[in-house]
Amino acid sequence: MRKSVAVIGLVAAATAGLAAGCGSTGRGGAEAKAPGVGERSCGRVRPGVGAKPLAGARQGSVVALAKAGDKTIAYVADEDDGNLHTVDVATGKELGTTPLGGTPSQILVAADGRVVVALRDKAAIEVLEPEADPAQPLASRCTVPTPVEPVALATTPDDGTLLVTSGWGAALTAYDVANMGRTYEVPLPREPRSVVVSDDGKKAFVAHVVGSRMSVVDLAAKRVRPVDVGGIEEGGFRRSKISLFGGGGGEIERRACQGFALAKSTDFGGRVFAPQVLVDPGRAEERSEGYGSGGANPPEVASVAVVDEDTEQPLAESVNVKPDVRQLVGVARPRSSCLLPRAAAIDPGSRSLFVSCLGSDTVIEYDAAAADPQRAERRRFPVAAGPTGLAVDPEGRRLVVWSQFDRTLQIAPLGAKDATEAEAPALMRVGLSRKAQTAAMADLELGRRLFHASGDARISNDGRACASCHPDGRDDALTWATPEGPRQTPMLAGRLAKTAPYGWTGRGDSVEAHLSETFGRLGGAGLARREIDALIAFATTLRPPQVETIDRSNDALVQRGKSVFHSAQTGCGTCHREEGAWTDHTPHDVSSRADADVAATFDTPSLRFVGGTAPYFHDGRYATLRSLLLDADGKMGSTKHLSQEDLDALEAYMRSL
Amino acid sequence: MRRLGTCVAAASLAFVAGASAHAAGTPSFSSVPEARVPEMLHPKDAPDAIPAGERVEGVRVDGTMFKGAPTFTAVNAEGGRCLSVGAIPQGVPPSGSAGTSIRVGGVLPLRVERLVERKPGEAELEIIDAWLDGRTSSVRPATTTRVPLTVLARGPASYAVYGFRKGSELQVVIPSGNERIGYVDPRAQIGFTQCGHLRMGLDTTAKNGAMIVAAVHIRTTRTSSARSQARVFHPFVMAQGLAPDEVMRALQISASTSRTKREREPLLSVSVGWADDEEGVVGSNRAVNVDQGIEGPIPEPIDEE
Repeated sequence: MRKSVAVIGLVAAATAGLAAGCGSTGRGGAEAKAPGVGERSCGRVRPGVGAKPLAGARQGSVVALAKAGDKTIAYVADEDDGNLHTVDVATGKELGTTPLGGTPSQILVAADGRVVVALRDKAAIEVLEPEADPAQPLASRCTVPTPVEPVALATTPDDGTLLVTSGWGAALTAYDVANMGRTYEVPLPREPRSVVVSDDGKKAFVAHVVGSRMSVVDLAAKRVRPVDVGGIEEGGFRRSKISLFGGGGGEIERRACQGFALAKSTDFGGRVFAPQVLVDPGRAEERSEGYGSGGANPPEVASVAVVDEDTEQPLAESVNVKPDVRQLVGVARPRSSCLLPRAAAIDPGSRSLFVSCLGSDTVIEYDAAAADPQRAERRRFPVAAGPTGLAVDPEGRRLVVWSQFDRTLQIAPLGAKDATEAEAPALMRVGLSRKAQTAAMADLELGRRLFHASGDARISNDGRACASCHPDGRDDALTWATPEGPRQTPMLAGRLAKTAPYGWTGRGDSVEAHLSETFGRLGGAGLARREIDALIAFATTLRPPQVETIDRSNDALVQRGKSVFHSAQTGCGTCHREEGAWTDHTPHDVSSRADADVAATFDTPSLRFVGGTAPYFHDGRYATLRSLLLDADGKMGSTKHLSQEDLDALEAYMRSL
Repeated sequence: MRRLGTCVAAASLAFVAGASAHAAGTPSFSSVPEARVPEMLHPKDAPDAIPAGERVEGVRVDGTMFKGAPTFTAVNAEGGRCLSVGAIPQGVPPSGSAGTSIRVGGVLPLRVERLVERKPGEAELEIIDAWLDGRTSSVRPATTTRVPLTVLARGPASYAVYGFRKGSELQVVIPSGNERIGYVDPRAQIGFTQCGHLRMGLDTTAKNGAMIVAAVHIRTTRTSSARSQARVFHPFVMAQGLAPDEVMRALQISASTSRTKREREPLLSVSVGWADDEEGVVGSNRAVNVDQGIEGPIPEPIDEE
């Protein structure tokens, strides 16, 4: 195996490997202490100068549109180079580039024309001001601290409040747009992503990558209500241990994952669209032939949940998994599913919902008026690799797609509002400028593409990509049925270095060995030598959470917890050795064998970033760290003797790892 | 920072072949004309008997089909007609079947439906309610109703989906041509049609929306880009008599109604698009006995023009 390289604007970006974890309950509050953050005024210096947002655009995106005079320009967040590109949408000409203070995740054009950029690796937002000439770099006005890993932006309908969701920081933070002063913060469940605001400005809807949920935040009461966006599959077939005919029909409860994107339009009667996948990880009490239940039902199906803004519930029709009608008339060749949805946008004129699909490098247009848009596909078209950003220009009737992996902006005409023809439009391709690339980065680029390759028979026989179970290089918070028993997905980002052996049983001496077993279970045909090297290089350099930006305000508590952790009486540090990346690289029997397990011993998992990777244990039996600490007493160290304060301290220490 | 330059190129990236669909222009629920469809005749009104010789066009009653079971008789509709005998059970599409068998006994209600497409986009539903006497293999017409249909969506190859409003229901009429329609109904149940159309009601008062998804093969002209593709034999498509430039290609149709709390009326959605990414399936020009088993596609090159 080739040694991994440590370069990485690219890696960071693509997989968002910046932060690992995500607490099963919200933590919030962890902030950047990066120098320079929050030291300058954020207000507009030259009001009225430069580009303005398109009317009604109040949701952040990787690509955001604005009007500069009679020109429509696109601001593109380039996470590989840490730049903001400005492109003339009509001509496709790149007008200019603005260097940013970190890796951008989303951009939002405020009502007064200021451009807010979420810097995911700096735990900050940067506020820029446009020049009169859109070709000139934007002027940086200030950076404002946020909880760790700001990932998405939105403004309220009155344009007065900016909302920022933070992935690792697991929080929704509100800022006064005028001066970017923080007004309040609401803790969220793990891995929040896109945010949209209700038409009345009273609620925010937040997507989550894991947990089968959407969060609805009451912005007045600062309260969060989780909404289950999982689905039901009627008559699904699972492989059965008993039936001679491979299982029977029944109801399968599917969990929602990959909630990266949301879309909403005031033209659509209170509908929030949430592209996602619905997952059947199989029954934990049964062994399977791979990852998942096997049988006829696919482990992952694409879905677009439609949530009623007022009732805060999904239309059941949108999350009910139905049989593939194409197969009923003998259309045997599978059509690639959107298993890695990353961006969404609405064209109110044609009532279309556009979703960009990473991995299959496709944009799919759905009928947004459908009870289940997933079953009302209008058309799809291939785009450059890595489509992470979408924007609709309703006035100019254009769709703008940003593909990060190929660093290409594509602009497609939307056609007339009431057009009945929907044939292939001519897409304008714009290759944006970039920093010089090294050979190592070329390898990482290949690894990144392979990591996200869905529908690739070399990886799996059911469309799944590495990023399906490891979104952003982390974990899906699911426990999968496997041939050896239930297995909770481990996080990869920042957890591969110095933690061999790999896999819950510790059978994989190297990442490559474990990868080989994983491909086998997924039914993948396998990759070529160079591709394996590239994939491993990418996986081992996934950027972990930005430890230096994690909140240090509770250092005293953490220090106390450290003492508890390493005390002989508690005994955590005996196996979770600090010098070994918090593992002793050895299997142990900690009385955790589940019914379907073939063995009783499990490799000591690393505790790096453990605070954000619930649930815990190989079978995901513990939903929270606290429940693990309490229940594992006597089986894995001792916690019975600890006071409440000691337990708090121990948990705080573990969350700091 | 070294700049590698900017390149701009206009390129026509082909959409995934066959993926285009047509759904814009779906009417609002209130704008769909309401039509009256009579209930089926009630058995209590049935005549005691119908003398032999009375017939309804397109309906064939064959009492000799079940030689081993003379108490049964077969009823078949022709020319794309759909039929129902007795009563239409709750939740079952009121159309879809072209044939059935009945136990010979008294006189039963019979309904025959036919989608009459004068030209694409202009259609009506002809509904004949009649009495069927299996003992004499006779059918006596009682009423004929003509329901004007409105276009809910147009698709490729001049395909149109029709409908009308019936109280709080949206009645969706999906033409099948000569191929069977496979569908998933609002209860997620799978079904197939054998006749010329599928008619199904969507309950617009359903709290969580109602949706039907269907697929059917239609005959269409091959696009130029498809002419170099390998011929694909398909056991489900009896594509006999196709012209050299024709293919059988699968369409996917979806129709739904849903309503959020603030919407004043149900939101309709009807989409029609190609169901496959290929440019079509060229059927075998020979009859196929599916029961004999099919091992897989048989590629045959198509000659370039």
